[in-house]
Amino acid sequence: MYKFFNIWFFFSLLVSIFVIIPIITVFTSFFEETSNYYELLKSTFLIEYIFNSSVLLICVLVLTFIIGTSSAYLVSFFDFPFSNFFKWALILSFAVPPYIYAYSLTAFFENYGTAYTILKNLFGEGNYNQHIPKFEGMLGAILSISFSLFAYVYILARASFLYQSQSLIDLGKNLGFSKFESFYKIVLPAARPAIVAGLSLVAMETLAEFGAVDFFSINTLTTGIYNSWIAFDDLAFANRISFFLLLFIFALFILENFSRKNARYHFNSRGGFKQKEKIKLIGNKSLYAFSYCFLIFFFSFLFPLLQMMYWTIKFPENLFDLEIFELLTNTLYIVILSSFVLILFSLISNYGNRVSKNKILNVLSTLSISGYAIPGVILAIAFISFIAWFDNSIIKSLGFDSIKKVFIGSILGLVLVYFVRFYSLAFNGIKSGYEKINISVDESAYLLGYSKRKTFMNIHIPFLRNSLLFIIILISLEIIRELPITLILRPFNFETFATTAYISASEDLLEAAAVPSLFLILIASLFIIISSKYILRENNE
Amino acid sequence: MNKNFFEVKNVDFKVGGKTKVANVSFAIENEGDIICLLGPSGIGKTTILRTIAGLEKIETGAIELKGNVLSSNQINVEPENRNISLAFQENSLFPHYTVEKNILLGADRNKDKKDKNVNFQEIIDLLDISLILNKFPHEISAGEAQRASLARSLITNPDLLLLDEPLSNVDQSFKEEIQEKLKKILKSSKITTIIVTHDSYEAFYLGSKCGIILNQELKQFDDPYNVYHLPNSIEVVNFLNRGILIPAEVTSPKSLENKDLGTITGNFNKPFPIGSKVKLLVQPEDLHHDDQSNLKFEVIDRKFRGTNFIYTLKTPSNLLIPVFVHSHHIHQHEENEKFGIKRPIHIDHIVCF
Amino acid sequence: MKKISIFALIASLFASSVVMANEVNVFNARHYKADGELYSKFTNMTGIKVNLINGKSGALEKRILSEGADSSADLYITADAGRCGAMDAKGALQSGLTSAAIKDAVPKTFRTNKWVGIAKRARIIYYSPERVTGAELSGMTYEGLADPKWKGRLVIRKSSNIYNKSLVASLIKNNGKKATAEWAEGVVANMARTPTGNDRAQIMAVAAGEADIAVANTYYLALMLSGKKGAEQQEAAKKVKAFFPNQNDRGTHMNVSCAALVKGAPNKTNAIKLVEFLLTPQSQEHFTNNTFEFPMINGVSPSPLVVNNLGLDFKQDMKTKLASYGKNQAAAVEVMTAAGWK
Repeated sequence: MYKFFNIWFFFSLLVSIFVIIPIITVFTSFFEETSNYYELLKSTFLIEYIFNSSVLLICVLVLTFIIGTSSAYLVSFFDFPFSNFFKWALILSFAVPPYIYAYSLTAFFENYGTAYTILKNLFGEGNYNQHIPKFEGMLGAILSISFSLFAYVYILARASFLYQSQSLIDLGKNLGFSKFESFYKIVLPAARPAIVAGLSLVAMETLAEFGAVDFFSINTLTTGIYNSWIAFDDLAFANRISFFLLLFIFALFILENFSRKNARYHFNSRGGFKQKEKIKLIGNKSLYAFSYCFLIFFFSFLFPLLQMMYWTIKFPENLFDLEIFELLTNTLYIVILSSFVLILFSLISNYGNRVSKNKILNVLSTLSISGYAIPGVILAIAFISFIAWFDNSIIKSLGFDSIKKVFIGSILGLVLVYFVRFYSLAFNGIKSGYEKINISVDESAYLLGYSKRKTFMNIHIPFLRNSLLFIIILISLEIIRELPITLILRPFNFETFATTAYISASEDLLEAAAVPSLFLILIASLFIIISSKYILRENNE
Repeated sequence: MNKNFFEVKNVDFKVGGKTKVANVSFAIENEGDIICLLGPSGIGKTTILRTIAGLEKIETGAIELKGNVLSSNQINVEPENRNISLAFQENSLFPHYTVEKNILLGADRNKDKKDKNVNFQEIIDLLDISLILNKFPHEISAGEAQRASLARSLITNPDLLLLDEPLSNVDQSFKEEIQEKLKKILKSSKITTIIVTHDSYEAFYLGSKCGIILNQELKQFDDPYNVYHLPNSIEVVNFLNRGILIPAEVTSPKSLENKDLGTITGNFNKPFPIGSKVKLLVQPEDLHHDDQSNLKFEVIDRKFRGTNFIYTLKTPSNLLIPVFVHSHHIHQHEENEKFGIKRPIHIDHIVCF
Repeated sequence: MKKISIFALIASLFASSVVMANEVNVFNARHYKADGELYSKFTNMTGIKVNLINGKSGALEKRILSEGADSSADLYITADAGRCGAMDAKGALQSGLTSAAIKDAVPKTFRTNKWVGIAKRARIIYYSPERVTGAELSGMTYEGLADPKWKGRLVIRKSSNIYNKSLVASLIKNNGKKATAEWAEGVVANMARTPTGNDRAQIMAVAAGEADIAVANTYYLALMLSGKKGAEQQEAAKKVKAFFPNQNDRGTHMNVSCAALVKGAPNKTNAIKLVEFLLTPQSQEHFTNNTFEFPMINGVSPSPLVVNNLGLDFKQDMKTKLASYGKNQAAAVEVMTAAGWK
């Protein structure tokens, strides 16, 4: 029994150390020489990065809050044409990563872009370019990120609205509130923890966003780190920026965990829950509600989808130039392999936590989920730096062959860094599944003569099956969309839909980016549709 | 061979490094005996059961079943190899199986045991759970879940059955009926059982022996009658909360004297030197009603319990003495009225401290 | 036994690629479809497999530098001499591109021992013939972009763009840092908008009337005229004209796509073979017809689209060595940033 305990401890320690390495690497500059040029300009840069990140963050938060809560409110409280369709259709926006949204925005609104073509075909020749609004730079980035991420707020707000008891609504009526009053005086405050949790997820993703921000060449903290590190070899400065970014993120992380606890508490109140009567909207009101939801659905999903389809049809040669089957198998391969590894290790580590009931283990596993808060760019670069340092100063000095090739530019390295980045998804998913199984269930199983292995296989696995399925889909969705890690660490001749789209776009071949983008959107949509009932908690208990 | 069926020897029961109950020893002499552990909640009763089941380890003493050591400093038989069944207080049904499947999983365990037989149908009937068999654990009430896990434990035919507050969530109206049936089935199938409860009536009814756990100790381990009538410490008296301690002076080997009640005769539980000042336990049934008596006290409170009344009387020196009488008209007194106590006062077991 | 085979299976899942003896590993930051076709041709001819890792130049460079001497990279192919120069300055390259085939094909200005240009482009001025008169453009130079007469009329990319870095580096090489710093301020003052978008976007801004002149590379106009970017861009491209600056002094700023030999290259011989292949008339023709760059070697004509719309008889700057782009890059960034060039 004691020996058993030590294995779990050792295992969790290992996973935690592994996840923490990149974070430590960010803060240490022992790997490289730092350059000291443009020293004078650094403080100006830093202020610019912080300013841009803050503007981006605040605008995205405001937009996602408005879009997410308003649409969630409409579909949870009202009955109008297609309200059941919008309920899940609105989460399809997840299938469009911000960088693909950015490509679509540019393609549509640029000079002589799709908007111009449409106007020309409708009204004949004309100088439309100067009248078409341009969504580029900061504005473009804000729109791209907001429309791609508002679903976090939508999902959590909706779940919270659903669980609000009828009596709360009745209370509002009793107090003589109008619908709008009861929304912002009762419904909204009651859903606050859930909304804050959703917003902090949005905030973390926004700060970590690389593809769209890089496409619009905005200097944020994340692209600043990337550029100082990659373009200027200035690790010290990159570290300084990382420090600021991690401060931001750390604050968010705490906020998120904090409000998530409250949100969970909120969800768990089972007693007294009854399905609310949805208010049936008629006449103009139902038209407004429908139009509003449709516009959001259109801008968040249909618009990029249609733009990418249009380009694919307009430049069909790109469809045939691309090794679509290979891209598909590569994408699926990396998705399946990473999900497998993530699930396996999260299961072991959760199980370890469960059987050994060790406090230190709990702390370790909390640490090891912090990888999710670190932008992929930083993780990937830190990983390479660490391996290079480890190889040069330890492996080689011991007289062994270099291990760089084993880790850098290999599937192994790729999966390892995905592991660090997405471990919290898998770990927390399984943890919340496990939290629903009372510890005495395990003990009953032992007392019924089940060995630990049999308890795990016959009791835990069947019970966790749905959670596992959901986690696999979540991880897959993330990896399909993931860009910077794949970009930096993938092996030779290994492209995914995301990397192909990004590379085409970055080389001024936006129309060639359409085909992989389109496939990415379609595959991701498929995953979302499969998992929508879990995401929407329809099937909850 | 005079070996006990089950024995706990000088064990410190710990959880997470913290001692809950220290230096505990007790034994179950014969297979099929039922014993009860009684104590306030949070005192460590559950820890004892968990340790016996093998879910917690021990560092001192030993736990033996049928002459084999299960737990000691060196030995720790894994829970799955003990053939001890524990029914948890909280819902511990497997959440993804129906109630029926849950119970049958218990039956799987010991299907080749022929000497005892606990029949599935019998248990379903006993616990009245036939209606919930096809439901999932999250669809049933706490009381139903408790009965279902009790059924699952019973059906395993364990060498030792451990029940942790088995009826705490069961409706009061239903409780006595289940207690009777439970006792019957445990006796008929000769399942050795340890029941943990905070309900002393349940303990007295079900157990052939009762252990009282207070202040990190097993204070008393004895027949229910003795535990009740001959509590061995003030703590046990206070815990059972059935009488009061009044000051008295021992006047002879068979009598003592109280200022308010006068002379009391009877058999001492242990000898005291004559003249020693003691605290005498007065239990409600020790005194009898007699309105003819000149020993009269004021009624402070009356509890009507259907079959009986319990009066609280106030003596001149402000002692509050409980008196038990049958629920008959002749015994009815109102508050502030005088209530006569029959003299001479004779108490079967004089318990003094 | 069963366990061992499971481990073997898992290990094989992670194994990235089968090691092939006859191969060349290319870190490729030039992503033209045409390049892929060329590599296949090379493999067919020589039997040498070309392994590609595509990416943005910055990330690829970082990876080569991190992996150091153990890097699996043989060749680094990118679209700006400034990048090759910067990699050289960091000691990531090695000598070896010295074969007669290479030396004969490529003029000295466009190569070193460690890297060599494989296709040329010029960074030129595009203007709207409707709004810019011939007189205004007469004798126009890069230096002239700072002339206040262009106030509010000029569009150019961000300062982070490598083409701009190299252009400014060449100005520093020719005019000195101080003069170039003043020039950069003039340019920023003339900008019609905050820099945004790629080179094509600059050309389209002129076509759409947002600005009168734009700075962009030569091949973009040809690409737009080719119709590969759709009818609308073809139409837009017809509204602008190309102008080659500095014809009266050193010549128009030239740049190259370059191939660099990485230090510690495991397949050095194959890498040299690939470079030599890219410099054959066959490959050069492929470049000119697909990417609309200028050929690196003599005897191959640029695409008719380039010849007809941009002309051929312009004076190239053969004086400023491309190696100076890398050397002056840091100064160029400093100058532009100081001027507030976004």
